[in-house]
Amino acid sequence: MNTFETLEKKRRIAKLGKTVSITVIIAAAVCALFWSIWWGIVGAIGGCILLIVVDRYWIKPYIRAYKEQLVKEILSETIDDLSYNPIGGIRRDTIDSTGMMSIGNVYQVNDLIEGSYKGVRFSQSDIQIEQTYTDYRFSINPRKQIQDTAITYLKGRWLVFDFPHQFNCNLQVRDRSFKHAKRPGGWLYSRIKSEKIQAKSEAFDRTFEVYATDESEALRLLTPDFMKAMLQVKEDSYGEVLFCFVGSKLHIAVNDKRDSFEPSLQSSLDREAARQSIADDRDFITDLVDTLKLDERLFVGE
Amino acid sequence: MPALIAIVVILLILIIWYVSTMNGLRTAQVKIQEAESGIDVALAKRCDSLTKQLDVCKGFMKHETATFEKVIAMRSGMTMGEKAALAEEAEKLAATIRFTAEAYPELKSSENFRTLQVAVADAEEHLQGARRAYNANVSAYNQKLVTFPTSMVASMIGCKPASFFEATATQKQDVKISFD
Repeated sequence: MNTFETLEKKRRIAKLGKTVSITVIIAAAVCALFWSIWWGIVGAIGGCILLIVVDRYWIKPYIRAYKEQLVKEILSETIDDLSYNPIGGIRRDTIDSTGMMSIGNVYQVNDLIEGSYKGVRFSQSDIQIEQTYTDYRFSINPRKQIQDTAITYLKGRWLVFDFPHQFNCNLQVRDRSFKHAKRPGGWLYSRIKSEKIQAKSEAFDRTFEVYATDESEALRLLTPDFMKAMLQVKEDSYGEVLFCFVGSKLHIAVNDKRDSFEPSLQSSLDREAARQSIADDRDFITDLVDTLKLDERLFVGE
Repeated sequence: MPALIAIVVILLILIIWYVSTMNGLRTAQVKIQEAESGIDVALAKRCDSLTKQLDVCKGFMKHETATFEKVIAMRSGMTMGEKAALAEEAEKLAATIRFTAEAYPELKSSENFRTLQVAVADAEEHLQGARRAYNANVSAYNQKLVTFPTSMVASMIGCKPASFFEATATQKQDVKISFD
């Protein structure tokens, strides 16, 4: 039995287990409504336990096998020195140290990919950053007095490209609608002083806001060709984008509300469709290097 | 009495507006000076790299390199137009050096030459960034001078438009170098 057939078998078992668990929970709810509430509660608890067991022993292993066997194989076709960890991710302090992104109090990552393409070293992971807080309100109804709210700051990808030399300024180029990016140095007193810059390109200034600690260095990086490339990245991303040049690294955040490299449990595992889907997620990284020309002298030096 | 208070309030508002507009214009002037010094640094870096490259090219170029060194020497007190003309001459010289290197493979493959080529390209990028930053600041400042009501304050305090970093037609014609 080859890889695809094995994975497809695991998928069917996982799907069956999930379907049975959900059916038991729904049946318990119906039982509670129309027959016996106690049997309903017992059935619901049993269904939930069954769902947890199915998730731990069937669903998660299927996803792990899919990623370790199929995703890794397709990634290695294009990416050199590949290291792929389905449960790892970019560290929280890596993003926090840029000073350009709100971090929130919920931080979830997966699918850490590290490697190089055309000599450009990078790491990427899926990321979800949220801020949850409890709102206390005055209300006669006790149920409405406490309300939990979650704001999603970022759901998508975070990429870090590492270059051999330092950039001479901290530069942030952010989508105008990327609400939860932070200005370098913040708005209040800080050692880092940044200013808002006009790049003098109508299309670019309409789409992005630019903050930098050194205007001429920022404009040295933001050549007309590079600005055009950034606009192309924005168009290809289906979400808000954020570019941060800090130290020797370029951080790119894409808020496309997607979790990449995830298999579907519901539909059959089609060989070509699965390969194409994984390749599309992989090619996003290589397309970034090609579109932004990150392998050229401005970034990698001589 | 209410009329007096209204007059005092209006006067205060006008004074605050005048002072803040004047400060805005002065700040814009300082930003232009800052950007100009960025151009000076980048231009000096470029000319310095080219001078070193000329040293390496001695013996390969038909003309004495001293002539070229004089053309790209920075002088103190240069106007923005003169600096722009100097940048153009530096660019022409860089092109000539590249052309010469193509004709002499031993020069092109020399380690020194290659290192300096990278330094020259790096300096050019810095100059481009400094030029765009300078011109952006000048554009913002000049726009303030011509728009009402800032133009009133500008004429009161004697603000004059700043010149962009671009060579005038006359300066382009005056400085000619033959590479034959």
